[in-house]
Amino acid sequence: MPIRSQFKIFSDSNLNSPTPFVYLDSAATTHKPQSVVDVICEFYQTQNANVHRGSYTTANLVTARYEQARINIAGFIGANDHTDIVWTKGTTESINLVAYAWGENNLSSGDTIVVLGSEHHANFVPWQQLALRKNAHFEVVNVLPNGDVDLTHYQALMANKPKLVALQHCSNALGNIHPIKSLTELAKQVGATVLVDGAQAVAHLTVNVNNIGCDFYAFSGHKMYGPTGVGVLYIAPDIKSEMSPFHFGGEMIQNVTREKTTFRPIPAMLETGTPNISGILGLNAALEFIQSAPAIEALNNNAQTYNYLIEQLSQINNVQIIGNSNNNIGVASFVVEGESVSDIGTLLNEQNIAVRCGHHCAMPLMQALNINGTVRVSLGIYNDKSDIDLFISALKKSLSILSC
Amino acid sequence: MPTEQQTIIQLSNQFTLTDIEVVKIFTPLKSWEDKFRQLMLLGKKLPQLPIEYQLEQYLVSGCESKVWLLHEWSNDKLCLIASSDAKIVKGLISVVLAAFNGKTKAQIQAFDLEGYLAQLNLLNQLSPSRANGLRAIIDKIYNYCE
Repeated sequence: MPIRSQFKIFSDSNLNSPTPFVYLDSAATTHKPQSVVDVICEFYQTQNANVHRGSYTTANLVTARYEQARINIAGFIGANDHTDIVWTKGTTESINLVAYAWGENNLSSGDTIVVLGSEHHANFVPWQQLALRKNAHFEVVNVLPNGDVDLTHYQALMANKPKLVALQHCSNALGNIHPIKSLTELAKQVGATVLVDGAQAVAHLTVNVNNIGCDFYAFSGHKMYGPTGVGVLYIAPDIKSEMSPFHFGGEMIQNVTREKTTFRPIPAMLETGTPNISGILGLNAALEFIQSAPAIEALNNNAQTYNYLIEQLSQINNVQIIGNSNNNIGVASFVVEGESVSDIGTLLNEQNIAVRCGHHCAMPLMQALNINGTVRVSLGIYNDKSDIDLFISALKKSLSILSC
Repeated sequence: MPTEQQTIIQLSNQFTLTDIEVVKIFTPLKSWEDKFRQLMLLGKKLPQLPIEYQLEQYLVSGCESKVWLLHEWSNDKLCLIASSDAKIVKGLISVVLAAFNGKTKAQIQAFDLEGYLAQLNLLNQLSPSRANGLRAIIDKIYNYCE
């Protein structure tokens, strides 16, 4: 089945009239193929049961599928063991979990935390706040004008021997792919613990946490064609002993008495409460989708679509593309001289074109680049040249109205 | 050198667009393109806000774009000047100022703003955050009249 037809949203008659719905906001969230939607519906219709608790058949079946999803996710990111995978609500929760379950006990006054200047707020604010709580130093790596990491500055900051280095794999605002393996290596050389925010990477790149060498890798289901409300935190085996419980409750415990409680090992220790079972099964279906031959082919074609987008966009007067379009996951972030990005977004919306306008939850990056925001066009597996043509003509029309 | 108060009053007096004119302009317009083109033209009718007044303290909070709003009372009439870094917002400000600028407190409170905006059929053209921004401007003007 062609990729696009697996997404019913693109044939919905309301949404696609009078002109086709052009979705160019996959960096915010991707659409979900029918197989993901079906798995979630079927779960509630025919299999609903809690995991790890039941003594009956459906509960055991659901538990088996739920744990198989963990094994599949581990394989997807090259983790050696399924117990390295902790389910969360999403990337933001994964990172906050580390900030508390690891950060509270492993960071002290005077320690240093380093983050990139292009981080999403979700991989910036938790560390800034942890540093404030602990009276630690919070260092931000300078950003080059194209959004890439200032490697000289990064190396200089490594001389401070940071305790933690938190790095985005790819920029959500610009799409730049960072040299994550070498950044991680440099940090490990000085003894830092390394967390990688992979939210934007997993749908576009082959990720191997062993190869990267990081201690934590965080990502979300909903940016990789899975449902919202489910995410992953990979925890490397060596760092597990440094983690403490984060939330307390059922499932995570070994034994509870009036006086004390003992805890089960990770992942159970960090997964108290009934998990998002349907979400995790949906994420597993997304994984099957993303690894299917048609999806892999469509992803390869995305590179051509992206080049076409950059080429077309560059030809429009006064458009300035922000970011490194030579090493990118398929994001074109741009500003237009003399125009506000919100005006452009409003007029594109009138033409049924969905893009994101603003700071993209990366205000420190916007400050570093000295801009108020950008229009962000981000590609997904279902986009093709026709989407770009519709977008470019809508953009030209928007700019002509704005110059009235 | 005029005082800030004099400048606001003077600039406010330069803006002479009325709600009746706005309704007349928008009523025949059917397409979204024409509505936005008119908003562009209306935005240009706003007196230019001198850069020295584009200050943080005059920003209307709750707007997606930057909106500066200043006011003074002159002979019981509310003198308003405003601007934005976004052109569509400037057009919308013009629409609101056409209804309120140079009016007395009683006139502002008696004015059927909802009816006026509904007649223009503009709000459904706006994203929720844009529409909320417009509401924030309107609320601020009503606050001046309390």
